[in-house]
Amino acid sequence: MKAAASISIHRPQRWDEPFSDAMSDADVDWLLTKPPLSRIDSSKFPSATPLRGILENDTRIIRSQPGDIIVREGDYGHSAFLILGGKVRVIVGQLDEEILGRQQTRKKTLLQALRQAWANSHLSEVRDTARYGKASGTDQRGQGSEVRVFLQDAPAIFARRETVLLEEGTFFGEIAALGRTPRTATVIADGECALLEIRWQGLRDIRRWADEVKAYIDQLYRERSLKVHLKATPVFSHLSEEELSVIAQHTSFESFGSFDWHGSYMQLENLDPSERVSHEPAIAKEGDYPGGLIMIRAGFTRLTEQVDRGDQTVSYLGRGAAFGFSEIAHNWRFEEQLPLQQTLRAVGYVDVLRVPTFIIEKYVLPTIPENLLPPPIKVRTTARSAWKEAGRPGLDAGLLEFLVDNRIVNGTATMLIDLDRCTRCDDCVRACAAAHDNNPRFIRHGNRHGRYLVANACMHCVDPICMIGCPTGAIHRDSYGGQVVINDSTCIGCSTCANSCPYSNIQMVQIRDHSGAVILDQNTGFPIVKATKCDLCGDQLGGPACQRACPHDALVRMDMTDHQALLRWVTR
Amino acid sequence: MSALSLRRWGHAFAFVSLSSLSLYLYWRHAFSLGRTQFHSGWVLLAAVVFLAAYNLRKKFPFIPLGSSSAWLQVHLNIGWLTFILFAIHLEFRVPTGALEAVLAALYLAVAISGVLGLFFSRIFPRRLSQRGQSAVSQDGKDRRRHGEEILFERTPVYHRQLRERAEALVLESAKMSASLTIADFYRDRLHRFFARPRSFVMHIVGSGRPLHLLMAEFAVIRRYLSDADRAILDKLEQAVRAKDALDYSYALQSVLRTWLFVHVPMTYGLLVFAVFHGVLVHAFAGGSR
Repeated sequence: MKAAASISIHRPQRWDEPFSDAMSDADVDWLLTKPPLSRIDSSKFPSATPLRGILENDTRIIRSQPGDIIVREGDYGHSAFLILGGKVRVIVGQLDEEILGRQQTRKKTLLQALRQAWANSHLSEVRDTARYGKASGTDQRGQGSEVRVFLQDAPAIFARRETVLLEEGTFFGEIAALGRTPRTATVIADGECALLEIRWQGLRDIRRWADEVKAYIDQLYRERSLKVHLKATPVFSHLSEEELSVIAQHTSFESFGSFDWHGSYMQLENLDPSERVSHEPAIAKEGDYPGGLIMIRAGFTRLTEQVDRGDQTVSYLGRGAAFGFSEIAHNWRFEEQLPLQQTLRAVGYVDVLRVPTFIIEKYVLPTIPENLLPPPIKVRTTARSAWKEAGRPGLDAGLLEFLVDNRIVNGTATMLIDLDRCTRCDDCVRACAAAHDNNPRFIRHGNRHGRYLVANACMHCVDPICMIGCPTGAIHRDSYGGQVVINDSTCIGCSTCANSCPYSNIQMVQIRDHSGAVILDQNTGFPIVKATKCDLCGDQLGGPACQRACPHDALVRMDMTDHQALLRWVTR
Repeated sequence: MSALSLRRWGHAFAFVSLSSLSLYLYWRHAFSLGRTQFHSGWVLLAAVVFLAAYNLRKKFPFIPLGSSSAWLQVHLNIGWLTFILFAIHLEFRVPTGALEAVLAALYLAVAISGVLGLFFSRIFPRRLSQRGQSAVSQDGKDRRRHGEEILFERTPVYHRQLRERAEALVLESAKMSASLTIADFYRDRLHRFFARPRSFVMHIVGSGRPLHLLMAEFAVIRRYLSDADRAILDKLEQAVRAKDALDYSYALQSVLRTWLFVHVPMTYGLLVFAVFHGVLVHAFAGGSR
């Protein structure tokens, strides 16, 4: 048989898909006259990523109208903003959920729950269209993902609320963009204004090569968030404000891995399992000197130990966890020089804080309460046998590798099904459909490891990529339980969330009226679609219908960050 | 002791306690020469109504009536208890009247189908997760290797994909070489195998005999083929193994789904007859109470 001829293409490059097609050379020239960009020394940038290239490919100019909502508190962003002209206002305190395009989940009363028995439609995805377009105080302009939501009476809200005015030359949204943390405030255009939106890759490079921008952003983080973060970390909880300030000054910020992990991790599936780990950058290596306490600010990490010639996953750590403290404390207490006992690897994108060891030894360890000191480390004297390690109690290595490799550790309500108990009766699917417009919000199908199936149901991720880029803020974290939910009234069916979800757990559905007719867009004649996904039955009494409907205790919604709960379920 | 074992022991204790209490009450009344059948009949009817209510609980999952697994545990305990109540109600005799015999037969059918259902529900899932999850998807991947779960409703699609794949292999063999061995083997032996689900009962009892016999026939013809045809035969063998695994999954999942179609309708039949029986008994009771 004749072999297929090979073809050659250009290796895909970072700027093959610019942030905006509208950026011209003239725009870049103009930008370079605007402070603080005009003050950046462009000669420090490498030839592969010059400042001009970054501005041309990683930024776009947005012209906002009065009252436009630029960022919403609680949204996840992948970009920061620089005010080029005009003013914006940061709202101090929380705006009404409805104004932000969100819904407030209210539990049904017992009567409302009962009423569903006869009042639910027998058709699927029926909507009451009368409620659309009635979001109080806001309106929309534009189409698709370019849609802009604006406040109809912004001056009245500015008058009622405490606001902070930001003017030309000011950055905002940089912390959330670099750390993929929720936006901490809502920002609204106060009059017409021009903004430069910089996607995270460009911001990262500008921060890397422009010292003044790095100093500015790091200082902002130190002032706004770092001390709060340190205070919330148990090992620092006993320290005074002054001591925390010293520690904050010595803390460095580091990032590892690819921010766009959700687009690339599935390619790793085809690699040999032993190779997958090597694609994850090591933040700290087993056998190295413990140079500092590493605190994870965003993302996930894998803890590995060398077993024979390979690396075995022994655990995973997420936001808020710390690494290296056991070794530092052990060396300080027993005056030894033990190296790190495990390797910490970045799974996807990880943002860490590093506090140097000498600072820990000087400020933390001398006054730390005894109960916060980790137990002494038992040093291994012999090489590990893969055979013996595979059989050790607890979460087995294979399951851990599976959970980390497939990024299931991201879930706070992952649907796990024990196939040794599941009779495939589909009671869970029927219960879900009964509670959600006669259309189940999950598929009893998905990745499988041995007897455990991870069903295609929204996992309500710690790092919800689906929430990045929603133009109306319809997909958001519920203020009631923290789960990721979609406000059907403000969802415009742009599919941004469904395309972003790396687990394919968001479905776009056509909606119907009470007669069963598909509802059409009066302008285009095409069916109106809405994004749907598991909402953990937030409005239903009793919690997730799927879990309550399983007769055999085979299905559970598991918070993967709770290792003990997972262990209890696996070993029950 | 694991949480599930602890729960099982708890339910076993509850069952033994309730059974002992029922028997004690029966013997106490029996020794005092009282008629126990009215009491035991009403208790038995109440138990069967409660058991039937589990199906209603499933129909309204949005009403907060407790978890289905808690209902099932109580359903099982009460179900086991009805064996004792049924024996007490019959006073440990074989029913003689026509209506009583039908009623007893209906009860036994419901109870035995329930016990069988429990057996299937405890044994088959484990067998399914150990085997039975291998099928070939459109891209030719082995679903077991990729850890995918076979959805019962999609079984006909997987069947068709496997049949088309097998037919394509046979045509490839016929076009490539002058040999008719694979084509004849397919026409005489495999066409029937791929036409629809096979060996239903053998899969239920867990016998691998049909597959072993088929594989033996593969071994018989392999020695006479060219290298190219052997490669095709290997792929055909993979398709046969995948089809066998699919049939295995189909057989077990069919039983897991269909036993309830016996258990639930019979329960409603039992309820109708039991109410009729109660009306008759009370109508003709006279002064016997």
